[in-house]
Order: sequence, then C-alpha cells, then structure tokens
Amino acid sequence: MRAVRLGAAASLFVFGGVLAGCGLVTLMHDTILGPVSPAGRIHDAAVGSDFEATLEGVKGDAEGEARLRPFPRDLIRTLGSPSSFRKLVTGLEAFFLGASSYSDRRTSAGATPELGRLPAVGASAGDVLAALGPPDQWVQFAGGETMAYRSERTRWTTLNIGIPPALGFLIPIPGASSLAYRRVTEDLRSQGFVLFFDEHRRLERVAVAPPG
Amino acid sequence: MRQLFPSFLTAAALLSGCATGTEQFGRPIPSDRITQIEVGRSTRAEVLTLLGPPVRDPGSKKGQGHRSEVPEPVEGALYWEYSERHERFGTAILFTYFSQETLTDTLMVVFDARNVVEAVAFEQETRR
Repeated sequence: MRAVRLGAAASLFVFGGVLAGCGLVTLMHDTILGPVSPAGRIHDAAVGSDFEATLEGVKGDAEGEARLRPFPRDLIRTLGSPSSFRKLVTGLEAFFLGASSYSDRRTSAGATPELGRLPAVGASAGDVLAALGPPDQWVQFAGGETMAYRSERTRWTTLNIGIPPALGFLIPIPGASSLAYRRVTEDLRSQGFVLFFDEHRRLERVAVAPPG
Repeated sequence: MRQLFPSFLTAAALLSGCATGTEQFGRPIPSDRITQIEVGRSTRAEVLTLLGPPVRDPGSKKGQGHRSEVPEPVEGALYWEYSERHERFGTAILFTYFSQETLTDTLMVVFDARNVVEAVAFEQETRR
C-alpha cells in the first residue's frame, strides 16, 4: 500500500511539473512575475531551443522566451543530436561537473617566457622579440613603448550539499536547484613581466610581477 | 549486506569514468620556414608566400574564437597561430576533476613602413 501511495505521489509530482510548463500558467507567470519565481530562479537552463552546453552550465539567449517550463524546448531532440562529438562531450562534462558534490576544475592558458632568455638592458626591441617571442600586449606611445608577457592559471572548486544545479535542472519544481548549500572558490593566479623601452626602442627596465 | 555490496560496486562503476582529449585550432606553424625570413630584407609579399595567409592582422578578428585572451594586435604586424587544448576529465561518484591546458604557438612578423620585415617573434608552447 505504501509503495502504491509513493508511486501515485511520484506520478502527480512529474505530471504537475510538466503541466506547470504549459499554456496559461506559463503565460501568466512570464507576464506577471517575469523569469524569477518567488521560490528562486525557475530553471537556469529553460531558455528555449537555442541553448548550448558549456563548462559553466547550459547557456542561451532567454530573451522573448516563456521560461516557466520544466525543460527547454526541443531538449530531447537537441541533446539527442548534438551538432558535434565535441558538443556532446562538453555537455556530459558540464553535467558531471554540475552534478558532483565536489568538483575541481583547472584551466591554464599560455606560458610566460623564462626571464633568463631576456637580453641585457639596452637591447633593441627586435632582439627582445626574437628572444622572448610575441608579447601579450604591446603598447606604443610617444617617448617609448612597453611589452607585457603574462600567463594565467585558474582553479575552481565547488562544494554542493543538497541538490546540485545539474540535477535541480531535471527536477520540475520551481526553485528546486536553490535548495542547496553551495560554496564556490575561484583562485586566479597570473604571472608575468613588463618591459619598458625608451624612445630609441632600447630596453630600459624590467618590472616583474610577484608570484600571485 | 552481502547483497548490497555488489550493487554498490556496480553503481560506483557506472558513475565513474574518465576522458582525455586534445583539440587543435589552425595549422601548425612550419618553424623551418621561419629561419628563411630575413630581418631588413624579406618583404611582406615574400613572407606571405612563405607562410601562407595569416590568421590575424590588426584589422581582422579572425581566428580569435577559441581564446579568451588574445595578444593585443600591433599596427604593421601579421600573426600566425596554432593552438592545442589538452583536457583531462575524471569522475568518481560524487567527485569530478577537470583540467584544461591551452598551448599556443604564435609567430608575429613586424613590418616597417616600406613593408620590409623589421622584427620576427616566435613562441612555441606546444612542444615544451
């Protein structure tokens, strides 16, 4: 008997959630309340047919779309036929990153040239470029110029206790994904140096950023 | 309890996985041809003949799509770029690890007012 009751409750739960995304209720909500429910944001991913899975989650242009839907439009068709294998993998990675209680994401871009390769003070800009490679930023101004070399490393750690965002997206209850304790730590470290040249395009001095 | 243990192991196996991959953007820069560029002698036309069309020049935004941070373009310079993005992904039940490293080879050739090579800068990160 208990199992039957649970089954009936689950059916009502799903049915009610699906109904909430249709017709009059959707129109009334979107017209009167806008995209955010008193219970919290409805669904971050309910953005219509033009949505895309990225590592930061599902993104899309929600402008002009009715948003009180349990799922985006064409969800099954879009997820079932991703435009490329790469998109499919990104979607899966984003789902697992969002669904995990603890996730660790690290990115790095570029590498700073070794300072040991830097020519001595007084070297020409051409010699510096030949030794270090293209700068990330090169500013030329009256009376001199500067070249900046830098690299960045970022680490995000996310702790979710409760309903993770990626699973809240699958639960057709407005604000379900808000029922969680979430702690996100972002650690951005950059390193690099700036070279100053005089008006004759000769290396004048070097400024090295302390390790961040 | 004995019946639960195999179920737990099966569930753990189903909820775990790993993946690695490399994405490539553009064509590798032929480093052997860079040595043929002579500062003060080679012309813009000769460099273009040698290396093909650049991915970026100060007047174009082409080729910037895969990088969030791109070097500031310099007036009178042409750029050739090749990038590799290495990814590692692993998940075990409720823990997920993801790392992404973007390495870029960049060749910048600076021309003077006469369209003659003034400086050549090449940085190869992909073979470090």
